[in-house]
Amino acid sequence: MSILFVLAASLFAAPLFFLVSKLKKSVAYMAYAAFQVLVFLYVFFWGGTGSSYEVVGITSKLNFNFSMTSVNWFFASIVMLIISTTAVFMFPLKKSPVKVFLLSLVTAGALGAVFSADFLTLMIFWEISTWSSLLLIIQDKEKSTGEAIKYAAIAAVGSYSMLFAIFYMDSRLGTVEFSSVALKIESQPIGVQLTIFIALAIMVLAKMGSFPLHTWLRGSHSSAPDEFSPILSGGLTKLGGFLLFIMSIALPSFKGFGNLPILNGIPIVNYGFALLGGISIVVGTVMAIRMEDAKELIAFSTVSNSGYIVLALSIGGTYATAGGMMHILNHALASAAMFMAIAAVAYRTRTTKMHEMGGLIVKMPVTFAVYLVAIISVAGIPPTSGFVSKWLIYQQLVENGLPFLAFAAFFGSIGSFMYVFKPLAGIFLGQLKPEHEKVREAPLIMLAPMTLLTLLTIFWGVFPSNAIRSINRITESIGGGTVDVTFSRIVALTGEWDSVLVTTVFAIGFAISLLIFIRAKRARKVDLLDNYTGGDFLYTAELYHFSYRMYRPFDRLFEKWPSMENWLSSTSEKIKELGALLKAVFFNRNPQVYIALTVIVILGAFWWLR
Amino acid sequence: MFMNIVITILSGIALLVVAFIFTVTLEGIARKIEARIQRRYGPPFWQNFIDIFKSLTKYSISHGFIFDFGILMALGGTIATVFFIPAGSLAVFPGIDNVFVVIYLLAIGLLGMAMSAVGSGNPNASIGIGRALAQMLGYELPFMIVILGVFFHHGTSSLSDLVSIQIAQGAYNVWLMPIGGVVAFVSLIGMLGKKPFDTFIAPAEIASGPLVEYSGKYLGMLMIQHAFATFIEIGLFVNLFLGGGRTLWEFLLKFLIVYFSIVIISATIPRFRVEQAIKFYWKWPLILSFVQVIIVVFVMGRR
Repeated sequence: MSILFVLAASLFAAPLFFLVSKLKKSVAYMAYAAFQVLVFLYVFFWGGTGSSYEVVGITSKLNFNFSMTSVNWFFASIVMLIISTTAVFMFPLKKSPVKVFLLSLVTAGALGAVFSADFLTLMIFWEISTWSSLLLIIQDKEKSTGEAIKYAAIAAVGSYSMLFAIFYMDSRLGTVEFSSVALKIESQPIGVQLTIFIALAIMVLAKMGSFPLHTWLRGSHSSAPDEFSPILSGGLTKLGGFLLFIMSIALPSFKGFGNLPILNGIPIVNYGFALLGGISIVVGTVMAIRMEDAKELIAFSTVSNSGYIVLALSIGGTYATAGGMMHILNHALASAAMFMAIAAVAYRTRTTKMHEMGGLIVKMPVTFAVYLVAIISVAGIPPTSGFVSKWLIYQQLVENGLPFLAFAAFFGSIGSFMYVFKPLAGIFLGQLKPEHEKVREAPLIMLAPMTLLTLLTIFWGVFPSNAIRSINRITESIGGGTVDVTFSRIVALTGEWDSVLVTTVFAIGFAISLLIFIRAKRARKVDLLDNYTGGDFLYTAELYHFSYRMYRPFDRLFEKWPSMENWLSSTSEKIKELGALLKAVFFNRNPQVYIALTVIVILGAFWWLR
Repeated sequence: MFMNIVITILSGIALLVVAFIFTVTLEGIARKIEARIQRRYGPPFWQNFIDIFKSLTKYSISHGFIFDFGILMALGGTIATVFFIPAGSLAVFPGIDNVFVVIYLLAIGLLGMAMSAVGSGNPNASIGIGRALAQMLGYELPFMIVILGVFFHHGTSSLSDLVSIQIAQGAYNVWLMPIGGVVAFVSLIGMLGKKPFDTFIAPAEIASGPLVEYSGKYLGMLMIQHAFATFIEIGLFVNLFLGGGRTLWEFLLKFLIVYFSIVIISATIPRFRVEQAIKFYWKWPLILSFVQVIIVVFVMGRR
């Protein structure tokens, strides 16, 4: 067995699942889930053992190069973990032959992309997955076509920019392979390096949904089928992280841009790129706080967390690189878990608007627990894996003395309390709405993958050394520094902490408070309408749950801020008006005119290219 | 090895007891001070002990599982954080008491409290929590920026190391970075929820906000939690900027001075609206914190 076999199998499986699904949908979905789980297990257990390199020749000059190194293994495991858990999770949801076909293609594309060893292969497989995800987004909901077009437009910006970079690399260096690009690029003039870096950086920003190319995430997530959002946010945006990491190996920007001005030990190009990440954190956080739809809110939290990854990987250095990689891992886990929890709620209640729900904790306690752990991780609170990555990134920010980037990082971290708490309060706490009296817990097959992600989040929070050792192996293989870890301690330049100790101490604190709680008199249980009301009587539960515009005073601060979405949509209106004007002036009803024009253009082109 | 563990456990217990008795006493005296400023007589200084122990023995009502669990999380997380604050010579985990761990571990308590309060189903509590979280984004930012400068200058983010460095060099951080010290002090007022930054409690508007539904043992546990949180926040400031202490008594004396100065300030200032508070923090404290950290990074450099 090899990479090629897995890839070919997953490509050919797609039409097969489609045909099976025409006959019996549940069989196709079961086969799909089983296949993804098998691929994940295979990648995870086989990939750790060694490295390999495989080439598929298409023509004499064009090859597909695949490799299996620790980097590929890390990203492939994360992406496949998210896809395989989601594949199990989606079983009770609405099934259709087209969806299972597209989902398999998305998987095959993502898998090919993370195993690629050259930029062209990466791009081709990445595009397979992007185009399938475009079609997937418009499957379920009506308003989604416009949102998918937005996604297509922004994805195109990234793709053309990367295509340009690939052609440019090929013409300048004669190769697009990661390893040989890394060897040859150092002798190139600074302008060439800069062009390639910026062109690839645009692709990263577009695909990760990072500022200024973040506008597609909100619409795509809110209109995508519920089972696809975890894959999109947890899996596919992490491909941007893969390219970013490859860029830091293949284009050794620290050496290359060393002649340019350096700020606090960081070349100005990387600093600028990190600043974009920082802006992305702030914009994502502020927008997430203002959303009223749970899926839109998590989409903006993805913007913010992509910003963290961009920031960390572009400032480089031992701790930020390790922190960025760790953040890719834990954001994949947490955002997938959050989207799954929301999908489970939407499966039972048919809505994702937070203010239309409330008090679901009594009906869906396991979903609540999953969501709670996921948000603790997003907010970066120990003992979950979210704290580990933030701690490592902060170490680098302190080490280099970067107050402005640190401002963004702190803003995102503290602001995340606000936005992650909003769905928790709106959906799960407060009074139950009367129409949700009969809601039940999500089915077991949905709960199992969610619980797995939750346990992994806690596992890597208590034993981060396990994940950091894998990351150390990656950074060692590319000649970077490693983070000192023992079983429970992580040591950085400006201090150390002990994850097991923190967890133990928290358990002790919890035990002490439990002791006080039990020793005191038992409380009388009252319902949620038995409240202090200043003397009024309460009859309507649905009116008493305060969650709509929970942060109104905070919103008011940002009301006058320029909105990129408004700006973009008014620009598109202007373009439409221009088109209407041109149509009014130049439109001709005679088909002959168009044929004549076409012929003239073809003749002209022929003459020019002759 | 075994002796080390025993010593750690004993010093942990000692720290908890000291933190509890000292902070609750100070809170009692603070009520007296505030009363005298307002020309009242005020309760005796042991009134807060009476309040806590009395409410722990009273009957109470519960609004369901999350109402109980959130309280346990709040008190548990806060007690856990206390162990990471070195109090002069009484340091439980020297070397691994990282400031980021303290700040984020304290957040567990906050999240637990928020969950429990909103779980009570009272809109006053939800409004209070919304205000508290929003205001947190105000005061934490300048504070974090300033302590970034502290860590950069000293090359460590361990509390006990920072204390020993300050004692060894004989100059406290508040002398080295006076602007940062002032900013951190202003942030500390917000952290403690003292006036003018007490919008989220605001008894007259939202019936004490998050606390509105608590009674009996719940209220007692929250009072204990509040005492420990006060200890952590002021302890953090004293250790970071005032050089902690060579002995426990020196630390407690500095603690007392910081606490009473905040009490006196807050007794004389009326309350901000929540967006005014955020705007305030994002204006002068934030600008000054950037000024300070730029001075530290580009002028003072590393120690």
